[in-house]
Amino acid sequence: MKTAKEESSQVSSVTSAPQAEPAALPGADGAPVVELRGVSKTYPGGDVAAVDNMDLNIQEGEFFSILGSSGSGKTTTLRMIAGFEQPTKGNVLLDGIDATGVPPYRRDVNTVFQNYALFPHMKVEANVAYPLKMAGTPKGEIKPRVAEALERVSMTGFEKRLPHQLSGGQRQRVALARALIGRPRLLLLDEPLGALDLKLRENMLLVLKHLQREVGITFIYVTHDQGEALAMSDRLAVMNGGYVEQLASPTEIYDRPATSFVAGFIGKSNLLECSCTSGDKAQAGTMPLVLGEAPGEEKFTLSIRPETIVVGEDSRGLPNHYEAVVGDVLFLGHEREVMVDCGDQRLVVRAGQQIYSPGDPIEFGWSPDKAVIVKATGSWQQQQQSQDA
Amino acid sequence: MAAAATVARRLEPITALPRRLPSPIKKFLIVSPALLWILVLVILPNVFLISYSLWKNELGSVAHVWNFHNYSELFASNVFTTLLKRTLLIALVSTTCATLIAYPLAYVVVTKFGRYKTLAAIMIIIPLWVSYLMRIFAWKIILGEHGVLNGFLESVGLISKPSTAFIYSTTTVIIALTYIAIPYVFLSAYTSLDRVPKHYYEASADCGASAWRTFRHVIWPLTRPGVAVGFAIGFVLTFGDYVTPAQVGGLSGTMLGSIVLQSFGTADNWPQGAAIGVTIIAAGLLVLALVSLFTRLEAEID
Amino acid sequence: MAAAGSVRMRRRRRESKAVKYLIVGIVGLFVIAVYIFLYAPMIITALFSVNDSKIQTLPLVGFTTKWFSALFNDEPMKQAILYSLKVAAVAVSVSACVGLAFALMIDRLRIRGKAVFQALLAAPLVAPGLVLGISLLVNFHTAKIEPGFFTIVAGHVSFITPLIMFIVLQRLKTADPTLEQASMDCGAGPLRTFWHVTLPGVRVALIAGCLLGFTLSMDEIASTFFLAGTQPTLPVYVWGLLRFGFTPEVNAAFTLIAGGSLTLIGIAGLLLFISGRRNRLPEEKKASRWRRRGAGRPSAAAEREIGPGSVAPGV
Repeated sequence: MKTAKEESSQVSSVTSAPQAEPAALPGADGAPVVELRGVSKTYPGGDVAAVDNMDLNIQEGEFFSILGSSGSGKTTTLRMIAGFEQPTKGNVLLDGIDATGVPPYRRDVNTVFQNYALFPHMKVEANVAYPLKMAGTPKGEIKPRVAEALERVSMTGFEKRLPHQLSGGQRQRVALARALIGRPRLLLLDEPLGALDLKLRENMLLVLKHLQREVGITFIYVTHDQGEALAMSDRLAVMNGGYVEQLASPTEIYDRPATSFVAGFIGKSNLLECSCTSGDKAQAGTMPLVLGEAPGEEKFTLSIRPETIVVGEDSRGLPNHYEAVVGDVLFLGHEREVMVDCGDQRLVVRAGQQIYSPGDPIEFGWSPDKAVIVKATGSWQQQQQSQDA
Repeated sequence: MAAAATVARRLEPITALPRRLPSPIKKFLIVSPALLWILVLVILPNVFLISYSLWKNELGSVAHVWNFHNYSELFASNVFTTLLKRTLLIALVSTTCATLIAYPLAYVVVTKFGRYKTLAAIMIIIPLWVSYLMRIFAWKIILGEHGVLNGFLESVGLISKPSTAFIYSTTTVIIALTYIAIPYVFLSAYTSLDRVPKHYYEASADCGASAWRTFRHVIWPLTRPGVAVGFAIGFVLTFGDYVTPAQVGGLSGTMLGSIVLQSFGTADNWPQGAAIGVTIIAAGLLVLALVSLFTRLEAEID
Repeated sequence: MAAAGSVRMRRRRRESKAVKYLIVGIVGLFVIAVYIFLYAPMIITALFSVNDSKIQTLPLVGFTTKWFSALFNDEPMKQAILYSLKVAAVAVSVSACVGLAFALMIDRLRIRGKAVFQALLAAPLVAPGLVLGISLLVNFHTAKIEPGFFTIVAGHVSFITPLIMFIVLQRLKTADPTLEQASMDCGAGPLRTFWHVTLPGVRVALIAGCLLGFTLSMDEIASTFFLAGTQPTLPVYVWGLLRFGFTPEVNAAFTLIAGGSLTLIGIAGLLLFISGRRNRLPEEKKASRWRRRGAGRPSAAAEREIGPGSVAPGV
C-alpha cells in the first residue's frame, strides 16, 4: 500500500496544476466517490496488463473523462469500477469503502453501455422500470418515476415501444433513463455516443452535459474521442497502454501536455527531438531553438501546437523565426494546413486563409513560452516505477 | 446526504461477504454433473461395450474371460470379412454419391438462391426429421416387385412383367443410404459454404478469375473441411445402419449392422455383437481421423 | 485498360450465351431432381395411405380413409402411440433442463478441454443408432437395469440433450453479453438476471430445440429397438408390423407421424426464424458482433475496445 500512496502523491505532483475544483463536494467525510489504489488488471491468458498500477480519485459531482485509444485500458478501468471485472491487484473504493470483489448488482453505480444493452424483449417502460423493480420499489411508485425519467430524456410517448422499434439516438436516451432512474451516486458511460452519427452525437453531448448539471450525479465518461472529452469534462485522464499519461483539466491537458503521447493524441502537435546546446538554447536537427526555460536534461522532446505558430510577416519579431519551403498543403475547409520543411525537420503549421503551394517560400515562428517540453511516452511511468524500486 | 446513506447501506453487507471458493474448485463443482453425465451416457457404455467384446459367449450367457477370441474368430470367418467389405463398399459408395449430389447442390443454393437460400436449405434438411423407418419403407414401395417404379415402367410398356431387379440388392441399399446421407452432407457443406463471405467471390472475380477458377482456388479450399466432416458423418451413419438393409436389402444387401441385430436378438451372442459394434465404431473413428488429417485448414474464416 | 477490358469481356459474352442457358438449365434440372428425390418417398407414402387398395402399386385406385380408421381401431397401435408420446415428453423435458444448463456452462465457463467436452456430449447425436443402442444396452445390463421405459428415455435423452444444447448454444453465442451485465448493473442478482434476461433471450431457441427433439424421439428406431423392453414405442411396433405381414395401415401411421413431425418442425423453424430476426437490431449487425467478441471473451486486453467507432473521426 505504501508504494501506492507514494505514487498517488507523485501523480498529484505531476498534475497539481491549477484547475476548477468541482463545486459540489460532499459535506459528509470528503471521501472521493471513486478511488482506485494501485489497481492492476491482467486478463487470464494475457501477458500484458490491461491496466497497470493505476491511482485515481474522482470527486462528488465531477464530470470525469477517461480518454484513450483502443486497448489503452480505459474500458477495463470502467468495468472495474462497475464491478464487471475484478482487479488483479489493488483496491477499488466507492465512497471510501473498499468495493473490491463486490458484484455489480450491489454497487450503487449504473452504466450506460456502448451498445445501450436495452433488453430486447422488454418494452421501453419495462426497461426503464427494471432497476426499480429489482430494488423492490413499490409498484405505485414505479410508474410516475418511469414517466419522470423518460420525460427527462424527452422520450415521453415511447413507453410501449420495443427497443428495435427505436432509432439509435432514441435507444441511447432510453438507456440513459434506465441508468439514471435509480438515482445512482455514480454514472458510468462507456463510449455512449460511439454508435451514433456525428449530428446525433453533438446533440447528445449537449443532452448529457445538461443532464449532469441537472441531476448532479458524478459522471465517468469513457471515450476515444478527444473532442468529446475536452468539451464535457471537469477533469480527464489520458490513458495509453494501461497507464495514465496525464490527469488534469482539459485546458491544462491541451496547453501543457505532459508526455509526447498526450501531445500527439490530443489535437495536433509538432514534436521535435531536441538536444540542449547551452542554457535556454537548443538544437532540433539543423534547427536552432530558443526555449522559454532551461531544460532539465540533455535530450528532450518539444511540443509545439500548429495553431501557436505564427505564419507570415507577423512572425518576424519572434525569437524563434524561420524561413522554409512549403512541402504539402491540406485543405481542411475552414483553414489550410501546411507542411513546411525547415532544415531536416518537417513541421505542421496553420496558414489560415492564406494560399500556399508546394515549393513556395514561407516564414513562420513562435514565442518560446508556446513550446512545451514533454516527456517521452511511457518513460514517465517507468521512471516512477524505478524510483519505487 | 440521503444519497450517501444509501450507498453506505448498499455497501455494508458486501464487506461481510463470505470468501468465495477458490475458482478451480468452484469450476470443478459446476462442471462435475456434466462430467458425470458424460461418464454414464457416453464413456461407460463404450467401456462396457469393449469389455463385452473381450468376453466370451457360453450358450447365451457371458463368461468374464478376457481375450481377443471374438475378434480373431470374426476376422477368420469368411462371412464376416465378406460383410465387412460389402459394408465398407456400400457406405463409401453411398456417402460419395451423397457428397457428389449434396455439395454441388449446396454450392448452387448458397450462390444462386439469394434470400431464399435458408428456406431451400431447410427444405433439404427437413427429411432428417421425418421418420427414418418411413423414408426407408417408402423406397420399398417405390422399388418393390409390385412397386411404383415397376408399375410405372409396365404402364409405359418398357417391361412386360414386374422386375425384381430393383429391390433386395446391394444397389437398392446404396440408393436408400445415399438418400439418407444427402441431408447430413448437405448440412455440413452448406454451413461451410455459407460462411464464405460474399466478397471473396467478388474479390476473386475482380482479380480476373472465372467462376470455375474462383471455385477451384478460393471456395473449394475454404469449404473442403466442411465437406469432409459431412462425408465422415455420412459414412459413420451409413456404415452402422441396420434398418435399411433389413427393409430393402434382402440377402445380398445384408450389412454388418444386420448381424449385430442378430447377435443381440435371436442369436443371443452379445460378445460377438459387441465385437462387431466395436469394429463399426473403430471404422467410424478411423474415417474421422483420416478426414481431419487430410483437411487441416490453414486459415479460419472470420 | 478500359478498352482492353471491354474487348475481352465482349468476346466472352458472345461465346457463352447459349452455353450459359444450357448450364442454367442443367443446374435447374439437377436441383429439382434432388428435391424430388428427397420428397418423393414421403409423398408416395402419403398417397398410398389414402389409396383404396391393399397392393402398393400404380395406378392409384381411389380415395379412402379406411386405413386411418383401421389405425384408430388398432388397440396395440394406439398403445404404442401413447407410449411414444410419453417417452418423448419425458425425454424432452429432461433434455431441455440439462441441455440448457450445459449450454450455459459451455458458453460461460472458461475451462480447458471445452472442445473435447462438446465432442463427447455430441457423440450420441452423431453415432449410428445401432452403436448407441447396443452400448447403452450393455451399460444398463451391467447396471442391472432391465430394458423398459427408463432405458428408452435415457437413450433418447442422450441424443436430444446435445441437440438442444447446440441450438441454445448457437443462440447464446450471438446473444449480447452486455445485456446480462446491464441487468446486474440495474441491481438484479444472478438468479433474477437469469430469469428476467438470460432465459427470455434463449426461450425461443429452447422451445424450438424441444420441438425438434420431440420429433426425433417420436421417430427414433435404431437405438430404441435395443432399449425397448416388452412394450414397444410406435416405430418399434411398426417395425414389427412390417416384419409380420404388411398392411397399408402402416402407411397411414407413417403419414400421421410425418404430418406431426412436419408441423412441429414448421413451428420450430418459424420460431427460430422470428427470434433470429428480432434479436438482430437493424443498425448493429456486424458491428455489434465485433464489440461482443471484445466484451464477451476478455482474453486479450488489446481486443477489448475494438469497436466500429474506435477509429476516431476528425483527429
